[in-house]
Amino acid sequence: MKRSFVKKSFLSAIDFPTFGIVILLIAIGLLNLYSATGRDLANRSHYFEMQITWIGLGVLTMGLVILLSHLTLERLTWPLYIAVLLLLVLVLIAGTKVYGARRWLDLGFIALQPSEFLKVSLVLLLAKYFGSDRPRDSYTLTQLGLPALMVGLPALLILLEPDLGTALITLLIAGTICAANRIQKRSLFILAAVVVLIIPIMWTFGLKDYQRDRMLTFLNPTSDPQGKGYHAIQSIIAVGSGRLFGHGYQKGAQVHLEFLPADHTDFVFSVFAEEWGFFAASAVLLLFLWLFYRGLTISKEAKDRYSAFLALGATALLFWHTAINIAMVIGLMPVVGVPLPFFSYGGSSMLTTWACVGLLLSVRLRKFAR
Amino acid sequence: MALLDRRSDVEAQRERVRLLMRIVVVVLLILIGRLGYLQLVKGKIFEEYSQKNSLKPFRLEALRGLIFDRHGTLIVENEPSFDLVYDFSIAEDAQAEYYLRLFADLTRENPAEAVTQFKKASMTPYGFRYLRYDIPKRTVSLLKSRQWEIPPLQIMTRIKRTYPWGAVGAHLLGHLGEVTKGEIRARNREAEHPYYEGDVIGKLGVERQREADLRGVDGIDFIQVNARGRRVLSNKEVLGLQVPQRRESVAGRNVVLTVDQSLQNKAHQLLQGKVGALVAMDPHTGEILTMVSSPSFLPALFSRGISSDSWKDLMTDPNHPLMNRPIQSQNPPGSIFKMIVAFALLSERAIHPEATVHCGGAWKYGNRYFHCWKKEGHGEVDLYKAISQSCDLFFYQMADRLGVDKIAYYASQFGFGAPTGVDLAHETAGILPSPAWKRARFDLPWYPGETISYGIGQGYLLATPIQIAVALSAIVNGGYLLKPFVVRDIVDHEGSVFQHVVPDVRYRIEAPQEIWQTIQKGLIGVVNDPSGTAYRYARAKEITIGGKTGTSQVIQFGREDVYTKCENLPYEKRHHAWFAGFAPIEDPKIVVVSFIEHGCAGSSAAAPLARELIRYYWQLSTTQHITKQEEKGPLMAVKNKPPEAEKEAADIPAEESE
Repeated sequence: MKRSFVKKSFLSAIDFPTFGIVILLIAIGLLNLYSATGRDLANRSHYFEMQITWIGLGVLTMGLVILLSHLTLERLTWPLYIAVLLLLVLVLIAGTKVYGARRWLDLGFIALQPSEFLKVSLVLLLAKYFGSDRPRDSYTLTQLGLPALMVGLPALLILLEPDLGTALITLLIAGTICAANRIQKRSLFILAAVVVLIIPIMWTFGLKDYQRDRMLTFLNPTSDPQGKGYHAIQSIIAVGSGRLFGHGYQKGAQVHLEFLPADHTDFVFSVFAEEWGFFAASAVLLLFLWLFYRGLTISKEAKDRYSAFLALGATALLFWHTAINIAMVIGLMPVVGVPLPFFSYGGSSMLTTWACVGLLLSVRLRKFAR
Repeated sequence: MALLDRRSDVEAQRERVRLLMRIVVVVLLILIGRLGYLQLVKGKIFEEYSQKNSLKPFRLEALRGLIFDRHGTLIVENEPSFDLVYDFSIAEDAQAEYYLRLFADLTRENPAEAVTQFKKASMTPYGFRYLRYDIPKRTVSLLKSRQWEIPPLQIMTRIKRTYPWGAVGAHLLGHLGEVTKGEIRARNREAEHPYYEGDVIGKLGVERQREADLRGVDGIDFIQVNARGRRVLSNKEVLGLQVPQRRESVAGRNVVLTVDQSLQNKAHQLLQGKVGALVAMDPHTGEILTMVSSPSFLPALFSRGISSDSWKDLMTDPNHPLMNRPIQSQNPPGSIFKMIVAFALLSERAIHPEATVHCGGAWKYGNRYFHCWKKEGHGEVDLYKAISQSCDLFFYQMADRLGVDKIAYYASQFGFGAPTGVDLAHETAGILPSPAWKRARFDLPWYPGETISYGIGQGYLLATPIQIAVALSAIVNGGYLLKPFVVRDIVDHEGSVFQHVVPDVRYRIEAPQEIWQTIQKGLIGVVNDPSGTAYRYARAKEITIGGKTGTSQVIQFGREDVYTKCENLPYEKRHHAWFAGFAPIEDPKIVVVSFIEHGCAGSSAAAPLARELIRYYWQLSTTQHITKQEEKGPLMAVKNKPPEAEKEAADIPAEESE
């Protein structure tokens, strides 16, 4: 019955505002990538063509996610989660090392980052857990034990790679989904106390300067191979010098950025802000805001708890990536190496992004389904 | 299911989603606010700054670790060298031609050439194009004096690897070279500190093997420069943003080798004009005391990029100067292998030590005659005589008695057919033939006649000099098969020992004491018995030496050629000469293997070299208790200067076939 509904009015049931924002963002992102890779003439067309390929695969992924019924999605949840866990273990054993971190799994024809897929798999799993298995009143600390384990185990594996940024994002997505549940006040208080008190205290008093430094470089060696803070400062100068209208497309004084190994991945937004200026940069941020608004609305209006959590999780994933990446680029956060959805170069991240878009559209599509 | 969700619950959840929405809005507003602050409030300052200045990362090159010999003699060090770079943060590439012409005027060279060089120059992650490496000091001072005219052309001081002893031990020490794209890809996976284009990396020998220790960690500094390439402002802050801190470089760790540089010099001198190898090893620890290959090369040629002419010379030299013969040259060991066959015989109780065989100069096996090197024959031969006089006929018969499998088994026990595991790359394994090996390699059956020549170390059997040194060490130390090594200590830049390599016994070949003694007695007879094959060539007054000669045929001779005098053959057909010796015989402290390509006879061509090396070793070790004291000191200190080439020439007796 659901299936026939999907077939009948597939196009008319697509949430066009969401889809429109996505198309706009991906177009801007692609244009920007072309400029960001400009200095690297030899590889420019390679990056550009690869990114288009990834977008194509992303759209296919999105289509697949939309076509799968929620029943099938639920059935696939555990196998998918376990497969990703295995991949995370495999990457620790047989992963390709880049600057001392094992994050990539080289399949010969393609290199994958299993930690990216974990995020989506975790959204599915937590939606299934909170969407069906609901206690009468509110969650206590002990009842949160199982989801904590579901999140904690892969997060630990990612931390071991080591990849601080992705581990952090994973926790934030899971935290957001949990926060949308009713949690016993006492448990919430204890949790908050732990996070708010213990961690900063440990960080400030429990560690010596060099230990902190060492831990940061250990947890996150790729972010800063050339010197602490250099990326951040160059990025801030580039963003700032963009002023109101920017230097113009492909006219950014990229002399600041050309040595950044990450200017087409993590720092891609600083290129945009430099070339297009404040108006365009904040317009893009507003587009993102609109997307998150659409996402949360879809969640709010979903037909059941499961769908609501799916949409919420997908939105959380996109939101935290965006927020942390931009904050990093404009110097509000330390450099942790998180890609910007739709903008950053990279296959695994692109597929994840489109899978989230697929989840949002899928939930919207089945809003009225019985 | 879902429809059973209580209304209040649904409402509560929506409320929480609304709260999340508010959080999202606040976060995005903060981001936009910050963008506004950077781009609108501070935008003008940033833009002006970025047009006039740039913050440049500057590499502080780490000093590569030094290499010392076992007594602390410095054998590889560093010195400054100057590169010409084009700094395109000062002037665009398009202006390069203009500046290069000015530069060419200054140095009175062809401007077109300078421009071509520029076009070929590669970029580095620090924003320079390297135009020329290792330019003369005169050009440096010329450029410095006119710097204001040609600001983008700058001098970068880098460190050049120098090898005070020139070509001595070049293969062991190795050389550096510019890191290739492939190496960058492969290394950067594991390296904590990535390699960039233009970096140097150890390509050969210890420089390669201990790259991770020697390299050190480059530091980084950040310097604000204006459009004219001048340093400006303070280094602490840029527009209120904190400039990243300078990080000092950390010097690489020093490497202390097991070799003795005095012995190296001696061995190098002994091999002058010859093609071959000398290896000396401590038969109780596996420490390599000497490892020299000839012909050699000058490793410093590679330090700042080898010129294509020098490279071509090295590559086209028929004697392969880059080959590290002690660990790479594989040849039939010839009669040296008889010591292994003797061990097999005794272990298998295939012969009574006093039993004799009659040697009449030739032995008919099947329908073929196998000849002894001594045409008229040795007469009645027992094991002792067979070893000391190297009777081929005896070993032909014994090989037949043992069979190929037994010979192969005992040879593998002594390490034939497998790399010794010495801590150097590109070691070859040699070949340990067996019927199975032949089947796999050529898809042919093993012929019985091949077993016969196996008995005297001919045929498919191939071994490297270092394999022979390990095998002989096992015979003189009672069966311990050692893993030879060339690096003894790794010392960090503060002088404390980072890693100490302990001798590694791979396993012990179990055999009764009498067996070892019987073979040792035979080996002692080779040198000390007046009828021994090396009596005239390896004996020394001051120290007693034992050993075994070997002469390996390069090609299969026809019957008429067998007794042709080797020196009358064309060079490439002449036999290879081997000698493996140990000393002193009472308590062996050194094993020496000398190998001379196309040297004709192990006795006359190879044995005297080993003898001279042993004599020199003995001379050093009886005087060195004084020198050792003097040379002990902090290993960081740069001291010894290369000695004048030693005058004394090796006295090599006239030729004679064994």
